[in-house]
Amino acid sequence: MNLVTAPKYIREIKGFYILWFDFTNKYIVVNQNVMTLLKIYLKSSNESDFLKRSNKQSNYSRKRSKQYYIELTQLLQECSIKSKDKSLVSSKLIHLQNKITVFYKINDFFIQINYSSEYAKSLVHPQLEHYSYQQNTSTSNNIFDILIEDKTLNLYKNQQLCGSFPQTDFHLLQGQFAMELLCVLNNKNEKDWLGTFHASTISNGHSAIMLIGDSGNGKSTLAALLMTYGFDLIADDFTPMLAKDQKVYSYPAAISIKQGSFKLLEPLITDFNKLPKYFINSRKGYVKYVQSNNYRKQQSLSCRKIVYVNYKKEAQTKLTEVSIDKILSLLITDSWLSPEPKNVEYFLTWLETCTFHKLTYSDADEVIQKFKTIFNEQNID
Amino acid sequence: MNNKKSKDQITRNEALKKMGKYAAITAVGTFLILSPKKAHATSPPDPGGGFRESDNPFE
Repeated sequence: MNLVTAPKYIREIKGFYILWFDFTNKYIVVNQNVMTLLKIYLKSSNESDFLKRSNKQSNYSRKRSKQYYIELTQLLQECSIKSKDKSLVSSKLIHLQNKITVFYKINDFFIQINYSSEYAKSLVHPQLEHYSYQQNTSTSNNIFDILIEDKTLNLYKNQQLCGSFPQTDFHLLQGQFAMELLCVLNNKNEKDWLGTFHASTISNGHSAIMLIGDSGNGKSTLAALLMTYGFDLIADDFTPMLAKDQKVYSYPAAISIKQGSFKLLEPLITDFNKLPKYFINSRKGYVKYVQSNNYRKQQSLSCRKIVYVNYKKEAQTKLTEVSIDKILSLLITDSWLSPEPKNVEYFLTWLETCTFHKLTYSDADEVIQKFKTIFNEQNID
Repeated sequence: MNNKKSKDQITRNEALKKMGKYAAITAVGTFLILSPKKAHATSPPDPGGGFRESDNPFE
C-alpha cells in the first residue's frame, strides 16, 4: 500500500484505535472491527490482494469487500491530502493615533495593550480588567496592538502582525491573543504546546479535572460554582497543555458568565450584582466576567479526568464513565491541537492515562459534593 | 442551521452526513474522522442560543 496514505501513528486506547495523519492533522477513531479491515488494507499491495486477504480473514463477500476497498482508499486519501494553509502576509504596525492604552501586570509580567477603539478594547480587556495597572511610563517588553482595519481584526505583538481575522470571527482573535499571552507568561513558543482545549479546568491544588461540553452547556457556570466552594480555577474556556510534561497550565482570564446563570451565581459570589455586564450579541446576550480565585498563582497540574458536562433542568446528579470515542468526538473537533508529530505523540500518551466521564446535573449542592468525591478518589489513585 | 459559523467549522450533523460516503465502513463499527481546529479560539461568537440536543454525542 502507498505509504503516503498510511497513518503516522496508530494507538490503541481503552478498546478503540486512534489513528493520526501528519499531512492533514486529522484523527480517525475506530473500534476493533473497523481496525481489522484497516489493517488488512494497509498490508495489501493492491485491490485483488485486499479482496483475497479480507475474504480469508473476515469472510466478507467479494462485493462487500470491494466496497470496503473503495471507501478505505477514499478515506486514506482524504486524510493525506494537505489543504493549503493561509499564510500571514508579514506586515508592520502603522503608528496608531487616538489609541487607548492599558497596562496590565500579570504575575511578574508587564503587558501593554493598545486598542484602536472601544470596540477593540471590549474584545480583550473585560477578561483581563482585574490585572489593569496604573503606570505612567512604558517599561513593557510585551506590547500588543489590537486594531480594526477595513472590517479586519489585526493583532500585533511588538509591532509584528501575528493574526488577522474577519471582524465576525472575533473569537479567533481572542484565541490567538490568548496563545500569545500564554507564551509570554510561560516563556514558551506555540510549538511547545500540545494543544489548547475548549474546556474549563478546575483543581483541588493537587490535580485537575477538565470540563468539556458544547457552548452554552454550562462549563463556565459549573467552573464558577466550584470556585465558590473553594476549588481553584485553572482556566475557563481555553485550557492549555504543555507537550513536555502534559500538564494543564493556568490561563489568567476571568470566567465569562452568561445571562442565564446570573441568578444562580448572584447569592454565591460577592458583589456579583456590581459587576459590569457586557453585551456580546443578540443570541449570546449579556455576560459578566468573574475573576479567578487564584488569579495570582501560576499553576501547572496533571489532569487525568475529562468530564462532559450536561446541565439538565431538574435532573438528578449523575456521573457515569463513558467511552473515549464519545469524548474525542467533542474534544478534538472543539480544540486546537498541535500538528507537530512529537506533540501528537504526547497527546496520545496523555489520553492513555485519562478516564472519561459524563456528568448530568441541575442541583448546585449535589454537584459540589460530587466533585469533592471525584477529587478524593483521584487523590487515592 | 447557523449561518454565521466560520467556513472551517462543521457541525457534528454535517460530519455525519459526510460519513455517508463511508456507509459501508460505518456499518462495520465505530468510525469517526476528527479534525482539530486550525486556529486558537475562545467560544464561538454564535453558539446558537444554548445547548443543542441534536449535536450531543451522548444522546
